[in-house]
Amino acid sequence: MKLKITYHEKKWVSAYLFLLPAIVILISFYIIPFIIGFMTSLYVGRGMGERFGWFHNYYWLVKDADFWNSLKVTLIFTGGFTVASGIIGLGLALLINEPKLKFVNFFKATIFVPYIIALVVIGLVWQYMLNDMFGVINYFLTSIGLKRILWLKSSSLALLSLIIIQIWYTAGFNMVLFLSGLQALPKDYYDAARVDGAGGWHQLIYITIPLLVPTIIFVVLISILNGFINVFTLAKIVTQGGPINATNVLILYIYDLGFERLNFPLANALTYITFIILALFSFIQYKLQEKTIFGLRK
Amino acid sequence: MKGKKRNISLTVISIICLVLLITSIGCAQEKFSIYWNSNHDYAVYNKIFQQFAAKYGFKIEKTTMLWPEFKTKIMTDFAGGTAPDLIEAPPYWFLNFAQLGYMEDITEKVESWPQSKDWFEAAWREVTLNGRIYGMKLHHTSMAFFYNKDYLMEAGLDPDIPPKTVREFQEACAKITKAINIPGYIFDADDQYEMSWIFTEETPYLIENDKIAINTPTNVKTLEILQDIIRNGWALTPGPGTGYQMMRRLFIQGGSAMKISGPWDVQNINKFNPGLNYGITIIPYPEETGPRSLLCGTGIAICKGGHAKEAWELMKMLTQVDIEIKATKEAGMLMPRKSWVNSPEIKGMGFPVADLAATLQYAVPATVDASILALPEISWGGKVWRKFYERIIYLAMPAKEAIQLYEEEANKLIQQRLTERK
Repeated sequence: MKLKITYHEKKWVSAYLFLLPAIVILISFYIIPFIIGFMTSLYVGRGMGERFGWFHNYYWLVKDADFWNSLKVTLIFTGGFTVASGIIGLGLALLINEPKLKFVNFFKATIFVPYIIALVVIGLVWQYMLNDMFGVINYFLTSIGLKRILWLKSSSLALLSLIIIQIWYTAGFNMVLFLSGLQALPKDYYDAARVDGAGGWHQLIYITIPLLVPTIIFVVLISILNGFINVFTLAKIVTQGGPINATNVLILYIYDLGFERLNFPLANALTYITFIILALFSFIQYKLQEKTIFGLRK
Repeated sequence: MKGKKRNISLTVISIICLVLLITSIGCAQEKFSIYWNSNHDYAVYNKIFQQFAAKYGFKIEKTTMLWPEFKTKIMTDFAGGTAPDLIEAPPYWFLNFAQLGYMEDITEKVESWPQSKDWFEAAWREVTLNGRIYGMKLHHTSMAFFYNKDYLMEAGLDPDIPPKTVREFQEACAKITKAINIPGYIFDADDQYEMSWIFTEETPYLIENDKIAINTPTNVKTLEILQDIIRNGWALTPGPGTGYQMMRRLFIQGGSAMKISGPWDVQNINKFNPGLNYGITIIPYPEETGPRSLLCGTGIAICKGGHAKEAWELMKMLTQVDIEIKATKEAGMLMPRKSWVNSPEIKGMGFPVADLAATLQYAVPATVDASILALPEISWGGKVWRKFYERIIYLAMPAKEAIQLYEEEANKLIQQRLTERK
């Protein structure tokens, strides 16, 4: 008996066959590890001596002072560089977007260059530059009569140093995002504003920024993800979480729990807490984008 | 035309089959994997690996790494069930890994091996957990005090009489920095090195009677002297993220006059600055007490689930006394056998082996109890110890306060662990 397959069934089968490789990869490398990771986080103990302990690790972390310190450090880092890098990126985009400016492509490329350099290289270079003994920054400061600054050895300055590096790294990328947002804005609003006698500042405050809100939300979300995840490389290379845990960001603490204290269940539990925090931020961003902002619906 | 096509198809299929056959023969050869430290990748060991491979028909897969990536990789391998057959690592790692259930217990093998009596007692203590042995020392070394003779001479100090006490060390730092504008001393990025200052005859161990034992007036005084040296700019301190070999390389290149290091840097000196005129002695100690030093050196151990029987044979091959002597000749390393110390070849060796061997008699496995308690965080490289080190060298926190904070935090963890075990 010959099996009859309709045209619609054929389409359905071929569509899923095309999707199959992606589904296999998604299940193997995302969904299964996600479930196994969560299951691991419910165990207590280390290595082969692990036993099921429900949410003990989560409870332990909530009581752990180092966890709250890491969360605080991560939030300060993320908040600090998101605001600064966003403002600098927007400022640069506004400058580059100036029609009379020459060598636009040269400026764009120059400002964007840090973002294409590997973070490991950036970390190493900045670590040398910020070295209090033989770093170029202190060399410059002392040569103009100022005091040496302990960039990486002081608890307060170490985190600030990481924020500065991250701003330098991401400002160019933010500029590109804002620039694409600016270039997509309709010119009619500006023409109308000029007719009404609005100056550059008023145009920026009442037209450009409100219209750029979707881009701003996107930049903020990307920055938060960068702040939570990419900071690991910087913190690991430049300060190793020190001094005195001043730069011990969440991901570095996860690494410490897993690979230094050899406690994978606890490290997994912290990973899921981080995941929940990030998911929360993404949810807020999603909701904000859905809302009507400044009278415009996204 | 059809025949030609068929011929081409046959040729292609034959080539594919041939490639598959060759690769499957290659795969059929059983693999024996080894993780080794890149700094200990000596020719003499590589020759042994080849001999071992030929004898047992293995294909050796050796991966060399530096310590920071080594630990990450091995932990990932343990979790993924892809651990190698043999690892070379610091012995306290074996104890940590053994508590996680990842290491092969070799107690019976060691006890039935007559040559094990030839080893220094301390060497076995470092790899023993609850009476069971989980590895064996490959190198048996200690922290030592390296000094640049030329700089001492230029500063008006006798290059053959290096500072013996902490006070003399402080004076030497001051003199050298003032006279030749080179930092007298260089602190290491790796807190293990500077740990040596507080392991003296009075406090040779980090933990005694289940409590931190290093909070003494003598140690506070030593730490205050070290802080004074930093405050006056007579020493260089690393930043928190400084690469772990960087400060040692700086000393080798003439960036400071004195430095704590060990035999592992002899090869680096020979490689990077063979003209360095240096001396080696025991680490300066407080006047009130006698010298002690931190026992170091790596070991070899078998991971569970691999070729345990053959790995044990390889361990024995690597630690034969003639191999040890060859490794010493090649890299200046010190070894854990009594017959190595007593061999005429070693006795006849002058500087630096003889000088390094002289420091070994003062060395104790000072931090082994932290490993036995499975508390890597309170010992060197761990977060709690690291904070203590950073409070001393970066924050210039009063030494008494810093040592007290460390003691409180570490004792709390020790008590927690002991309660868990009960």
